[in-house]
Amino acid sequence: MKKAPLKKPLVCILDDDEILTRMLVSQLERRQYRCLPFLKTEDFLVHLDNQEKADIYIVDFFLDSKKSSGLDVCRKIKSRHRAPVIMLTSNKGTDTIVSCLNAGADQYIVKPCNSNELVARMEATMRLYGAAPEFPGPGPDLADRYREHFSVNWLLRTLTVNNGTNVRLTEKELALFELFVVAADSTLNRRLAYGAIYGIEMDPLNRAVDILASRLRRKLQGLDAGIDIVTIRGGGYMLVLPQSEVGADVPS
Amino acid sequence: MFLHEALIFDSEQLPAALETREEEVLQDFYALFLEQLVELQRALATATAQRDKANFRLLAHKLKSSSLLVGAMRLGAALAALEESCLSCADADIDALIARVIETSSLTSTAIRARLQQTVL
Repeated sequence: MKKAPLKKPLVCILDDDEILTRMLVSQLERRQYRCLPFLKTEDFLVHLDNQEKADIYIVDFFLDSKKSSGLDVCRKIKSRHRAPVIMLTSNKGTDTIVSCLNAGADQYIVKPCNSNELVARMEATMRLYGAAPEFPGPGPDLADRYREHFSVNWLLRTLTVNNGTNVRLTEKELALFELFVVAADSTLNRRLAYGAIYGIEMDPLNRAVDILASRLRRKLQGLDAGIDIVTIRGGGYMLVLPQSEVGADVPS
Repeated sequence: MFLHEALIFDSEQLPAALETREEEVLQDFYALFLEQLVELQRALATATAQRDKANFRLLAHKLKSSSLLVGAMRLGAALAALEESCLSCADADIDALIARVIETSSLTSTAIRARLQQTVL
């Protein structure tokens, strides 16, 4: 009996550096990956919303885009799919690395990268998603799990709830909302949120995340759909949805 | 010191990164890099006229990785130094570093064109 051919894993790459992107594609295709390269963030986001989910995403930290940084894109992927993200950065600074990880990236690689190292990290991360119970790779995507409550249009930055009303969010409010989605029913830590949004370490006296959470809370309450943000004593916030336990299907 | 020590053009770098010596593939990459080099030179001239420091950093960052990938090691180092200087607000160095980038990009361009012509011959 003939064995069915193994499906090549799909890698989505977003980097505005055409030379590096073409090089990655060449290296990965040689190793039996399918590649979908994007040079423009806008094109990538349209694809993310409408097309086939990739098995892994590779995103440059420093994108030449006024609208979105690599961190923004990483958060968007993570709030949409349960899929691994590797950030490429040419900066070895701790702030950069910490903010990548806080934004949900699974790995980071310093450019220019060795192809063997990149592939080894990709495979290690994908193995983790496929095998480890705490990362339910084949499970429902976050967007599916939240669909009954709301949908997000990233390009227009609108949040629409199931009663049909919607609200426009600022870039930073949307960033915070994406982090809530990824955190599911866990507490979103203030300091981690700050690093994931602003890309730098938070000063203990900085109240930017509190102000952002307060603004977002007002907008959510204005939608009158039972979605709210509650403050958790000891340093964070949690998104609350009406009559459902968001994390119920996540293995403990 | 480091800038002078780095090679202007290391022709082994790109084949090693791409894991191929297929001439057509290598030429495509070199041609694309040369196009970007011309854009860099033009954009640097504009930014210099406008004293646009944020743009210097962006330009330096944009071509830094590609330079190292195709083997333009000295240019990569010069761009890294310019980016670093823009980040650390070391105004005094910037003019000298821009001059270095312009000079090195010109040398790099000549070296890569020579490499391409060698193949044609």
